[in-house]
Amino acid sequence: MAGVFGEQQGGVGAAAIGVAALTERIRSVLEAGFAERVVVAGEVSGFRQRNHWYFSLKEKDAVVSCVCWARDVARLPRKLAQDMGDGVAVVVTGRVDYYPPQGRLQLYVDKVELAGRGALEEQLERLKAELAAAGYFAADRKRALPAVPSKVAVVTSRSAAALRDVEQTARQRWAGCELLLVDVRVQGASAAGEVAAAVDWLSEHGREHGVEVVMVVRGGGSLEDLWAFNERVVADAIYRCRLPVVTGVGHEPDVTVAQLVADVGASTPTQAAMAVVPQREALDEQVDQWSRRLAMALRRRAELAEARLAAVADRGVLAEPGAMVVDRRARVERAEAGLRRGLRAAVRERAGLPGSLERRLAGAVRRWLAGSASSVEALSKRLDAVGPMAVLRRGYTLTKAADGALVRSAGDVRDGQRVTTVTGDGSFDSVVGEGGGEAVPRPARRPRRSRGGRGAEPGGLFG
Amino acid sequence: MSDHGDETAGGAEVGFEAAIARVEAIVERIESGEAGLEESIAEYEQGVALVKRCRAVLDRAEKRIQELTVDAPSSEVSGVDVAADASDEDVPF
Repeated sequence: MAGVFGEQQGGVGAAAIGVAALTERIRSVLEAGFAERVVVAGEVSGFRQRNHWYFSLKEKDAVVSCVCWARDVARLPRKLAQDMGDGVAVVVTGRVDYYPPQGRLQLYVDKVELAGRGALEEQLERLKAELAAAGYFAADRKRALPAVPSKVAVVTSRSAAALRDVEQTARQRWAGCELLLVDVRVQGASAAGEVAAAVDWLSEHGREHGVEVVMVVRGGGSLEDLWAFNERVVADAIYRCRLPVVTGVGHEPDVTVAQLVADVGASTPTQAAMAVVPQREALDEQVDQWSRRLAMALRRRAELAEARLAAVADRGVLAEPGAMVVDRRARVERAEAGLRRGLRAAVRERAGLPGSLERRLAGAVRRWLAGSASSVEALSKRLDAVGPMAVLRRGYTLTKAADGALVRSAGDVRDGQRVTTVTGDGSFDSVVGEGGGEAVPRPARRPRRSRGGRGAEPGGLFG
Repeated sequence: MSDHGDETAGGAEVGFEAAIARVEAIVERIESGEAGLEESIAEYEQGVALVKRCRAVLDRAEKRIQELTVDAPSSEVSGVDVAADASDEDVPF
């Protein structure tokens, strides 16, 4: 573009050119000198975001203006867009050009990457995305840990504070859990390979040594320090490990790839130890609970047996015309109930005692059951002995009205009423009142007489 | 989890979890009333022995950390007292 002023002669011999011509010339020089796109590292300052990004890239005293068009911004990773701002170290890729309206040389940026830590983070995000897509982090792959592992391998550095954190936590929780150190470097170039080799070895041979769980731990540090645990080799080793793997790498906010692949990804070594080693008190409680349930189960079982015995005994009583000796039966029942209460109390008392006495409980139950069986048997015999049939065999009789009700009083019967008299070996019927109030000439006694007999019964029968 | 838990029990020793599982089975069997009283008492006594076994496992004495040397071909477990070693050089990780 020639410019509106055209080319004019300058005051000192040189021909003057228009601004437009100058800028045109600057652009052509830049075009020749920066034929390729440039990749520039620097720190962002003066960042402004208005669809397009405007910012400067600085390094010490040098600065260059940058612009990134909205369509390029849209193609940048979301994470980067979130992190972008003043002071962020970035590596930009773009084209150098001159912008005549503002007389400014600018970098037309179409790609922005975080530099340093940012670059590592990006790499990490990429690996995480890749492994997530491959199913490495799938929830259904996570295996449950043994509730009470007797031996645990700890993959870490012998000199690491993390090891002592794990040991201390494990001891505090349950000293019976054995720890087996697999010493590896947890930082530096060889760390990832050593950690992966240790996990692979444990996968292959751990069980031979009784190892039930693999712990991979390391204390906190920078992203670079923890980098081994973000390497693919470690992720692969944990992924294919045949023993459950628990990680505890870094501090709370750090999430390593190893943590995501692990069956349990704790955020610190201490928390990893807490996830693996059960609390002694909880285990004691569990054992106590089962011990109690065991004792209770046997008690219930014994009560069931007792109830069956009682049912048999009851049938024995009912087989008799026992309804007629109500007070006797009630007494026997009271005695029986008292026996049962006493036995139950004895069993309950023993069931509440600690484990050392549990064996004695079994003996007590045995004795109790033997006693219970013979008691019921004795009661049955005794019931039989005091039952009405035995009394009748001794010469007494019972008189029943036509409806079967026991005649207890002379007033219970009227003249002309038919009654049945029960003797020890049978019964006969008669009619009341015939013969002017005198007893009918039969071997049956008048109700009046049997009433007198009843009065003597309690002492006589039970005494 | 039980797939390797059984293996580590080593046959002779019943592991804690296996013992608890057996106590549970015994309790269920006694509670069901299927077993006779004599049999229930025998089962109960077995359960008591298992409870005792569990308590013995929990009471196991404290052991120092052993070290497993992975790179050696025999991979023997050595009795290095790791904690004593480590306390000399305090590396902050």
